[in-house]
Amino acid sequence: MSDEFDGKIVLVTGAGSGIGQEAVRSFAERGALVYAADLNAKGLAATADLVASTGGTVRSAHLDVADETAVADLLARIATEAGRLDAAFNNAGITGSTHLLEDYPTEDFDRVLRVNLRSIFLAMKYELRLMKPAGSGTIVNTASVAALTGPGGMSAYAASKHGVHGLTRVAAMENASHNIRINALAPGWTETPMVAANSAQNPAFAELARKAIPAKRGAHPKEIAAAAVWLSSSQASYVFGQMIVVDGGMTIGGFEP
Amino acid sequence: MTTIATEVNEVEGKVALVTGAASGIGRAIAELLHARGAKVVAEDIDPAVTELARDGLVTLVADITAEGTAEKAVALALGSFGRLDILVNNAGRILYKNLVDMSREDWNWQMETNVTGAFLHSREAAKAMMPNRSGSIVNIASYASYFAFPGIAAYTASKGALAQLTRTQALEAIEHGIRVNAIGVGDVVTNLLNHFRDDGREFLAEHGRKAPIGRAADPVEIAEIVAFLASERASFIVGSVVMADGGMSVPIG
Repeated sequence: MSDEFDGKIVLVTGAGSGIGQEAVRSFAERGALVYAADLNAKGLAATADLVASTGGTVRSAHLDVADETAVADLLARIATEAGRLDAAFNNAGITGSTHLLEDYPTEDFDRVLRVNLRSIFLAMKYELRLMKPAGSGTIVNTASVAALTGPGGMSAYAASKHGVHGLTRVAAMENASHNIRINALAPGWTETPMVAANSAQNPAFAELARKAIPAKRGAHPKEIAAAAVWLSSSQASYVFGQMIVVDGGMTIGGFEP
Repeated sequence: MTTIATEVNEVEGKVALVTGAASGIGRAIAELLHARGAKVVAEDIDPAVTELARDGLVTLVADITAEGTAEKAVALALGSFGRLDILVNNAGRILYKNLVDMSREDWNWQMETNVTGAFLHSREAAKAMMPNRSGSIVNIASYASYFAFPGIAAYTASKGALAQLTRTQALEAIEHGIRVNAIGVGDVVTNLLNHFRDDGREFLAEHGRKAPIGRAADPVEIAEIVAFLASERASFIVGSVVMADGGMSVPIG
């Protein structure tokens, strides 16, 4: 049985590590030609090696996803080389530094919004220009449980992820009649290199955070990537304009009564 | 060590119990899970469910709300196939009546069919799954779990209750390795409305055109979400209500 992603053209941003890297692997294993975008050239090389070892086709794109010219150039390259874009997983993001709001360095705030929110705006802006004339496509944007909650010290991150949710809903509504299905993904605590680096700085906090998750563990990046690939597939054909929460139960409630 | 499957046939060899399986969404779920290699107990109050019987699929004609039905259904899964891995609480009805015209009997009937039956089956299924330290329960909720419409107060209340039953049981069950989630379905072309209007299916198809996606769902589209949530691909999805309403709730929520 042939896989529905066989021969499909897919773009994944934040593809050099964690969730994005696993998504590239999964799309490529299923036969897609994957454009893997990241600012981290070393990470991109690791992703390419991984795909080479498991089988599949990946084309690396080294760029800053918040730079409009770079994003426009990437989508122009995809248009030239592949002629279309079937699925996009806009996943690049950073957590930013942790400070109380009144102490939050404004330049850090701007940087987090730039990488997490502006990047998704730009990605969709140019992806839609490719998908709309084709009359089909799927987009999945990585938000976070911080799109639903107010994590202390993370004003920039939470604001950016709430923004991703809003952008997703607007884009979904605007493109409903063009057969383009757009959703967001809200991962909870995920053991990505980004989170591991933060955990190493504050292991006690990381341990407490894991214990507070009903599943009593963080997610493997594969578990988040699996949801992204599923949302991109025809198996999610009636899921539209939604944000799918993949958090081990973190946002259900869960405090002892 | 958690193993995470990425392929689509992960329900192979699993045993599933599906309520409301004689028609519509429930039938699509029972058939899809069976086609993907699961053993299935298909339960419905409608004797037509027996037509589904085949190798690896047994049927039970019973009222989900009756005392002892849930116990009987779980016993049938264990007796026929040796275990229970997946429960899908799909059975549900809709009462269309303004609140001022609604009797206590109307209200109780709606709560019994849409919440109490799911509670009883979830309780018995979880007991059977706990020794295995694995299992997945999927409740068929609705966009009416969160969004309100005139004329269906008991229905929206029952589906809201089903979503909260999902979330609370999710917290209790994950301690035993069991995941509980729900699907908030939008308009799906089924016989749901047929008991009070002859054009029920046409009405649902027409109403679905108001969704941003421009159409109602085919039952198999909901069945695919069940297959995903029941699989290891959804191993970190706990207590989620996956909305599948073609975007109906996006402009109003």
